[in-house]
Amino acid sequence: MNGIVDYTRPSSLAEALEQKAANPGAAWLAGGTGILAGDSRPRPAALIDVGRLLPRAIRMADGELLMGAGASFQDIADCDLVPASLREAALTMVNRNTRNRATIGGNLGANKSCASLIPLLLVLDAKLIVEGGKKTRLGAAEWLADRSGLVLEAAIASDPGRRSSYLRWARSSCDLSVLTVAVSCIVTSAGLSSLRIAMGGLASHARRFGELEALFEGMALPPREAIEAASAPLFNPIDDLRASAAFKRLRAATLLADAMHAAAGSALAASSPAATPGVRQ
Amino acid sequence: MFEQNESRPELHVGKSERRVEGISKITGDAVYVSDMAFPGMLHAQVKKSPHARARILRIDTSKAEALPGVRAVIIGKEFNYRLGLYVVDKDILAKDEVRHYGEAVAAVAADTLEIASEAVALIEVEYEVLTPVLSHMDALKEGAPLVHPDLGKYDYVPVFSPQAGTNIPNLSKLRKGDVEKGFAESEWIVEREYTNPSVQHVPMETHVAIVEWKNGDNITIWTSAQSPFTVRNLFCYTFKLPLNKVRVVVPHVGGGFGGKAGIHLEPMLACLSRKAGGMPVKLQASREEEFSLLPCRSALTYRIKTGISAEGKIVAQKMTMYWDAGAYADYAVNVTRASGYSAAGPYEIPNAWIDAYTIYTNKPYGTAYRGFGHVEFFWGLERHMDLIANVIGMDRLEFRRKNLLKPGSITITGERISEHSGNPTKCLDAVAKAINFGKLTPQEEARQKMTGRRIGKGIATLHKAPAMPSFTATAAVVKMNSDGSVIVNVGLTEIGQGSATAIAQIAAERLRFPFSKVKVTIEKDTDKEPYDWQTVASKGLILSGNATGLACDDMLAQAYEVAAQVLRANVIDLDHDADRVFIKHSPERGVSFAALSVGYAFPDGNAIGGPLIGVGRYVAQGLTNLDKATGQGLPALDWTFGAHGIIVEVDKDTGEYKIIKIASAFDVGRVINPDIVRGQCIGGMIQGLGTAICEGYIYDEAGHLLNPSFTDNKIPTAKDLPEEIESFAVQTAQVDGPFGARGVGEHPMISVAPALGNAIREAVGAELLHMPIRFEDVWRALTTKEPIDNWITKTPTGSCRSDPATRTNSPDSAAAP
Repeated sequence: MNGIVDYTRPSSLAEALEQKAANPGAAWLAGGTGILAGDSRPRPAALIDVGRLLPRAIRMADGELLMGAGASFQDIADCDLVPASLREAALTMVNRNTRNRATIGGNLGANKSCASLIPLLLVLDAKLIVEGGKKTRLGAAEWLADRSGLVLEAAIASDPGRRSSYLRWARSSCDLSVLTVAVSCIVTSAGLSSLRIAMGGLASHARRFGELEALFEGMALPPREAIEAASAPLFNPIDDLRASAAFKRLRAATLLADAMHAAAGSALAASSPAATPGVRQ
Repeated sequence: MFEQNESRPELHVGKSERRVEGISKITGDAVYVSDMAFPGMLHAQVKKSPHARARILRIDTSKAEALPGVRAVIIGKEFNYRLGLYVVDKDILAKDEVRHYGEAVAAVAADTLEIASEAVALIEVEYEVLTPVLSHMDALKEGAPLVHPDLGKYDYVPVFSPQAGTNIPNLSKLRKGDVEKGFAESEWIVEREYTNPSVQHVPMETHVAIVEWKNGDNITIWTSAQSPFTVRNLFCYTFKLPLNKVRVVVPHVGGGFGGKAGIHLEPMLACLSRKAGGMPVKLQASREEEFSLLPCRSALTYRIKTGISAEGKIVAQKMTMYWDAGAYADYAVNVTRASGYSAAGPYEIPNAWIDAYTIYTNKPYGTAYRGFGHVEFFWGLERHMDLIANVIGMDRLEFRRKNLLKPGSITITGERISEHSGNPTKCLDAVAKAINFGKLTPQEEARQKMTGRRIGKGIATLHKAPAMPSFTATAAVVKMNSDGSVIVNVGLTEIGQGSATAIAQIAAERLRFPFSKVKVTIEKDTDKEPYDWQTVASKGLILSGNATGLACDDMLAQAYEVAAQVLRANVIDLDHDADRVFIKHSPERGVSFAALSVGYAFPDGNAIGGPLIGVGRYVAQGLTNLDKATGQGLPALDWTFGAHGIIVEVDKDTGEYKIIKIASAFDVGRVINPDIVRGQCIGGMIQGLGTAICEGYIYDEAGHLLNPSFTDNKIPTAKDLPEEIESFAVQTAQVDGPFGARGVGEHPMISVAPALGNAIREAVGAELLHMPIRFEDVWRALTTKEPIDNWITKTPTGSCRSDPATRTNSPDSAAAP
């Protein structure tokens, strides 16, 4: 294949980690939906295929939801144990054929700006169980900072009262996400508490937006227009083929407003119509 | 004899018979070239240019040739073969200079695909990068680099007009009346420029071919091409071979849409096969190669200046079309020619002036695409008609109705429209009614209030005639088997359009046989099928349909002649049913078709007749070449008129929109198969929506194609469909069409985009002059409150990162030649 000169399929995790240690430039291969897509994209010279080694089960253990890194997007979408927002996010991945191949581990490992699951994993405070890294259990944001080791599972602790939402904007129904936003919060009589906001498409990777969280923390859910007006100046998006910075700024603000209302709105503002992915209300 | 049958109830025409190839396709039995493999077959891969324009200084193939398993490596300098549909401007592989990103510079045939890929990577090419000319408007400027400095020396088909010393391989002109006088007499003059980018056909099956060049120059080509006889003819022209040395076989084809109409991979594979000792060599283009190695649809810049009377009649229209051919002329020169006589649309315009330029640039080259230029120029034309109506304060429907062609109207080429030419007004009225044009229903008012999104409605007309030579011909052969069933051979290729089923229905109807007794061959083989010009242009139904009818008549005449002897009756007294020929006034006296099929044998052993084989030949009639200076003449076999209506809802803050309903109507003359017509209407509409909403090539400043895949070159899917789709068939019988039918293969794609643009404008006021209409484009138009062009795909000198304000090749800066 174009650019790939070395492909291995180790028989054990230990062997996989040995190969990676011997060739740090090699890339992990799971479902291959990103790394193998397109002929002309640059590809790593070496691939270590761990697709069959990664755990795939999705289960509850000690009050945590544990999702194997080899679980496909379709596995996630089909599992009742998974929070609804995460299932919805998994369903935004293009089509069923791709969802059957793409894995949660691959989504984390690639760490693309358009990653469908990472924003939600960030706002749900997911912990990652890692083999061969600096730590064996660490937060998703911390792992994404250097991506050392191989993610085996993602854990989401039970957090009663926490509400979450996920929205994305794309150019067509089967497009990858141009912009993503995930919001989680606890709604109290005083307003939004423990607010977490993560967004993708604005920079080279999806990330938490602490400045936005601080802006709205403790407030009653503002009207959409207020959220848009307050948040838009804080966005400094990248231009790319998919949209200009100016349009992304506009769209990110409206998407955030819709996501915040989707997460908290049904509790606070029954009259507010529910947002649907990709469509501004 | 057979004309007496015309008054009988029709058995098959107008009925939705099942697709004859449907079962084999949905069960996976259908064999495509992609599926084919032969013993010893080699696999080819191509070394492609990373530059838009560069001089080839050196090609070193030694490492590739040394790789075990490599059987042949070829480069352009080995050959002096020249290719070209209408202008012979192409080498099999680039020789001294590459003219577009993705152009083939070398090719390898090897035992496996993997070895071929590895060998291609080992080929070293040294380039001197040259400044490309990327904008077709820049290519017209004085001093622009010449993509083909030798244009004046090229062979070409005489109906075209290459301009030596320029980047113009064709200039088509049309002059009717006096436009300047018309403008002087006009109450209003509206002038605008409309643009659209190149797009890709994206057939499900990418281009694929297998070529075997055996000893004695006996060559067989299996290819996914639309037009096997065109492949054969052009191949033989290139290699100077007699036609009977080359056999072209086309099995099932996974979509073509014009992109497979010409000749593409076959000559290169032939050279590889010959060099590899005659082994068959196969190449299946990757999806990315579809975007750059293989051709696309041309971009267009279309300027329209229209003079309108106080009463709202179009008095004069001056149209200038700048077609971006890319690096080679291919079909683009004929697209230019066809648009050059159709650019005014289905309107009566007493004073018309058209200059249509084909322009070379250093980009992947343009070819035929469903609609053959009409999708592109109707975007501008029908946006323009809305603009005019708005400017003069006339209802948009009424303005169109007032100016549409009617019986007695004279087209811009001088053809008189008759009562049988089709009825554009009926089509327009049908879609207007279907979308309640001009007002919102209470439900739409309520929806608008609930969602906050504005609802708008747009309409757009269309027309198209087959773009083909005046002498276009075809033939059909109908053969009776010994059980009385028949096989129909036509050269028309089934590429998914349903032609095999329609031909079978025409044959069954003409013979008055059960549908199940008729088989139309799917695999096309130039050694076996009768000649057909090409499978393009929506002409198959009329030409091959008529030829089939004539072949059926011929076969029946043979059967009647033998039956008359057997029954000792006059031919004029005979009739037939599905099984036998009998005497009308003594129906108990008859003879079965089975008994007649291969020669009738009397009880004593004497035989008469012979195999029943009917031949039908049909050539386009009454057409003429166009006068080169004035464009006057008769180019149209028929006109299929139509219209689209769209209801859209738009978010005025973000520009995002959703299509609520699309309605279409086409005057198909006569519906042969309602399901197939509906399938064409829906399929074409979706393809038209792709052009309208999201497709388009994007280049960087150096001419690299940035989006050669579905990741960033979006096409619509089922999820993007409008909430409601409605299609209508108007039936104004085509006098010379089979059972009154005319073609509708391309038309459903035409004018979807302007109907959408007009609806969006009506909803929120965004005045769009460029397609595709992406959400951001609507937002930009709303934000700037003025017409905008597309800030990405309009300009090849700007990638996504270029600021619109810094663009240098705006329409105003482009100089007309």
